[in-house]
Amino acid sequence: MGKCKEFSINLAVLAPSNKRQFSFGMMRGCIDDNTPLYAMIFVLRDLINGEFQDRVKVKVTVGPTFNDKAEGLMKRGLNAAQLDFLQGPLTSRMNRLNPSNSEVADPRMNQLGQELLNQK
Amino acid sequence: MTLLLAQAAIGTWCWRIRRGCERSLLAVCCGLMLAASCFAASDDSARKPCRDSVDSYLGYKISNVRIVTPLSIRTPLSFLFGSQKKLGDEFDALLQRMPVKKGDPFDRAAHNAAMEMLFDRYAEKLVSPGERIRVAFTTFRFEDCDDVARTISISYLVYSTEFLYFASRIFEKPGDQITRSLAPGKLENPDSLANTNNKLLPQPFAGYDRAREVFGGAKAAFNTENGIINKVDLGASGSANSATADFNLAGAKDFAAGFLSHVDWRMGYNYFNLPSDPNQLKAGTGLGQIFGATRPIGSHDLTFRFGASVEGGNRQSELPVSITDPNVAQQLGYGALKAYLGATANHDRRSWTASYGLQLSSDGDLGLNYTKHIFDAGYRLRYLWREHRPFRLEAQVTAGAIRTRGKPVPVAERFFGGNKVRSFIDGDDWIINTAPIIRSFPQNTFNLVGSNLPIGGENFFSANVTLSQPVWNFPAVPFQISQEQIVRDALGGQLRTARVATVKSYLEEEPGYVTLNKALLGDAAPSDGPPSGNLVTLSQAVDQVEEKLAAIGRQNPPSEVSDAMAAVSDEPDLGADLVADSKDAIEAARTDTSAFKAKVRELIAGSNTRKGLIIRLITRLDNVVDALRRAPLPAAAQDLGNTVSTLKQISTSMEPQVAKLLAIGKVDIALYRPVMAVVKTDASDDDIDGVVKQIAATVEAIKKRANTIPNTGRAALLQPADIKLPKPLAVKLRDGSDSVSAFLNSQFTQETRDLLKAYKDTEDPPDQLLRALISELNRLISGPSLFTDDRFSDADLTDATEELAGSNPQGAALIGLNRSLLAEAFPREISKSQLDDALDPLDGFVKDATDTLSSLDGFESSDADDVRSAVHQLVMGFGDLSPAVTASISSEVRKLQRPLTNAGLQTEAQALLAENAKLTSLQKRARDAFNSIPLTKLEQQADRDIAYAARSLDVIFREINLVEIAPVVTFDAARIGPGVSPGFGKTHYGLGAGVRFSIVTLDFTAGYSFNLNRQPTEPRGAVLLSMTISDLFR
Repeated sequence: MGKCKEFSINLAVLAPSNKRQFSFGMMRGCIDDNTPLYAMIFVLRDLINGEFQDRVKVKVTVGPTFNDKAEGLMKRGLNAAQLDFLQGPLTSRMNRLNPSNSEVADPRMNQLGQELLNQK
Repeated sequence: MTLLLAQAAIGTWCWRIRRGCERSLLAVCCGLMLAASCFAASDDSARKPCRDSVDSYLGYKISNVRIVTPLSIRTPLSFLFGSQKKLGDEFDALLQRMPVKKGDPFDRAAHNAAMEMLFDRYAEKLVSPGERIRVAFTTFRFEDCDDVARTISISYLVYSTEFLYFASRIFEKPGDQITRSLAPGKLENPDSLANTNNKLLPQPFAGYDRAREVFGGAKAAFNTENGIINKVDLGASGSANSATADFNLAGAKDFAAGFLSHVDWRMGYNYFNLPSDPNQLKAGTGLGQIFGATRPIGSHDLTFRFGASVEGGNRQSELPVSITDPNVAQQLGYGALKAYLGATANHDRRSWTASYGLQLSSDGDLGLNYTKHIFDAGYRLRYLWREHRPFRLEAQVTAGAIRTRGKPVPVAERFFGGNKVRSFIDGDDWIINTAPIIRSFPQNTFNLVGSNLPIGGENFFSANVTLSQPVWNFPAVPFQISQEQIVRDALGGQLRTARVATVKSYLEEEPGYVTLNKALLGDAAPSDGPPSGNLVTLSQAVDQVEEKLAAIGRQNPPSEVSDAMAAVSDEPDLGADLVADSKDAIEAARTDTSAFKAKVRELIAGSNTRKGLIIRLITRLDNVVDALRRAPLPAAAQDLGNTVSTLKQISTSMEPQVAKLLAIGKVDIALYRPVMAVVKTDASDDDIDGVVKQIAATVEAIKKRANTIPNTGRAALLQPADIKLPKPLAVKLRDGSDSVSAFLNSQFTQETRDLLKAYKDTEDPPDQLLRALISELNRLISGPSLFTDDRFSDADLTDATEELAGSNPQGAALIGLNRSLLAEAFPREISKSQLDDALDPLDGFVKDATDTLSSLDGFESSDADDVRSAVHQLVMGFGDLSPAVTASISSEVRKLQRPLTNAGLQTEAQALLAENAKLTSLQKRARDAFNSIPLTKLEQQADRDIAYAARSLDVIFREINLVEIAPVVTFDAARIGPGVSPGFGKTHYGLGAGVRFSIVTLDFTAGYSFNLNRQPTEPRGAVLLSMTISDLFR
């Protein structure tokens, strides 16, 4: 791969009860051959009336200023505080903006995305 | 179609062959399999090479777009597997919606959007219960790049654990499912590819065996969702001299908790009429059976299996000789009670099985005629000495004995050996072999216990070994992807995330958590006194705040009050609408179990970057109250102030409970002190942190010296390989679009400038131009100094280069300076030096280690899971799939020895080796300390789940091949007894060789096994032909 090549990696975990699914993905996009941009997506689903329904769906973009931290997160993985932050303030903001759409251009979301990287 | 044709050809051809033709058959089989493999591999052959740079293809016409997955491979067997087709159709539909279209010019925005669609697909997709954890990786590659026609093809590549799940499930023996550490469960989604309910699953098969000759048949299964009987199986096969048939009604139950994981039951009938040269064995059996398996135990997934059956029917044989032995009967009724106990275990790429079976038999009446004892054990090893080239060893030992009680035993119940396994209970998922396996004898023909006495043995023993080594393979994940460091690192990161999420998920079932959940929800009995701190009272208080703020708003308050109120609805800095967000968070916490903890935390505790919503709300409301007092609106201030006091009381009383809730499952950070004493301690530098710093310093020293190192350092003249992106470099130098390019162009000879002028950037620079540019640049690199402040004002020069530029370097150092100036002025186009390129990976790992070690500063005040992830990334990793950072540093240090020595940097190479020795020792100590940390039960459960996902990923990225060809060697030793004539009852040996052709997990083996100590009436050997499934998950 060159200096920047697009790829994504997604994780989905089905809870032992088979009633809840958690998905977390990170994508490296590229503005050009040398400038990566990271996006994160987080989805939480619950089994309701025999069907999985989205409880939480958050997508945030980080970079290019915070690329190093985003890459660090990609390598180390999320911690419990980051998981709570995704389900907490990030989800609240997303729901406030547009509950039906996970993709909203909002400077506050970017701020929250950067805060996510610093959760301990 | 090739393999289908191959099978048809084998079938047609085999009708014509008779004994003695096996060698020709083997040759044909091998040839056809090779042809099939070429067909399968043609997917990626003959592609024109493409550059890494995406930018260099902007505007090229897209000649083709496709989505490639490991299941995209077209094989002649594809038509049998509906799930493969369904998955293919799903990706075809996605392809239609993707913004990258055939015929369009390539542009980054559409390409990024296409990547995002694939990314979103896996965020959207449901995980099947059998999968439990799915990891999906997507990327792309250019193909068929044509710079003259300016066309490219794009393949979007998708690698996901789901493919292995499907591939394995398609071919899997039912019994294998239980050994997986998976959650059994009902599939809720009727569209799931893994859901086979209410679908007829036919499976035709054909084969050749010297005893049965060419045979063919079919199996079919039908699964239903409910009821005691939820599966119907039937199968039949036949040949000119044989027939088999079976019919079963079966049911099963899986248990989510407890010692047992699975129980199934079955009623059925089976029949066989099989040759046993010169004998013929026949049996008809009706049976009722129960089978159970425990949950896997311990780190080796030790699983016990047990079962019992009651059988009745008859046993017949057609012998060409009369039997005088009163203990042997040609035809007899049959009744039996069978019971068995077995165990399996697996670790890494090794697995063990062992079983004991006991059969109590009668002639159909009550009473015991004979007992049969069977012991069967196996060992499987896949040694991955090189990725995607696993050496395989399979060993099996089987023994059995019949104890008679003065009554006859039917011939068909005695032990007949050959190249086929005979199951202890026909049709059972758990295969316990009851026949001596010797592959140099056709099925049932290892049967002589005396001269002209083919009646099988009363006891037997067999040992079998199969070795194979792939010599050609086509990996499921291409090397250029699987070897990419960021990919391996990201896999490790996702597995660590999976562990955190899994622990969190288990935590929500804990009794302490449930109790606090109820208390905070307000489900507990109300207490007297001040408002109790729970979500009900909190909700009421926030509602009151909302009402009172609305009332104040209606009074048209002064601007100071309005401003203070605006800060409540649009919080400065953080942008929250504190009342609305609090209400939403309360609502979510009350209705969404999975969000409860996160929402309560958001409301009350907050995080390290923002306080809880309620505290922030109270602060802003206090400002409103102050503003009201100053307005002056004392009544409103008093009224709102009272509500704020209530809110404070509720929040204060909730805080201890929330703190308790957040503390549940938290591991004591003190447990990490022993490992941190090795990783990073203030007490001394004799830790990993100290060694990494030392290595970083050595690397920096090498880089500093690189300016004066000829041949491989920066004092080396440019080589063609140093030009990373020739096209943009030529364009810049032609156009003189920056001060450095303009200067260089002005220094070139007229001939070179003419070449540049003639160059059109629609194509790659011709060799003549490249040679001229390298020659010109090398002339300029040789001196004098290229540096002036103005000329390089736009270049991002390193401190070292600026320092060197100011030191008036001469000789090699001057070349180093000029080369560095060019490399830093054209960072994408020109590499710094071969030495720098060699150092880059180590530099990257040292940076990763430094970053990780920084995150451990003040670890005593960190969460243990944070510390755990960092230490895991640093010293543990996930084996070779995603190695620990320190292991990667060690590996790079070893690789650097030769380049450093070649560059004359023996001292630095030795220094790195010495530091590396310390690092290796410290890593071992850190690992031991890490492994000694006691884990909670929840962590242990989560680790078992993650281990399965890590194994699957390891198989996908390091082992599994789409197609593979491996030579196979077999060795067998077997004996049946007692011999009743001299020379009989001795051990026979078989030695065989062949070729295994594998498509994903489906193995076809063809070969020949020779009878090494052949007796006059025995065959010279037998053809090996088998189709088996390798369970790579073990």
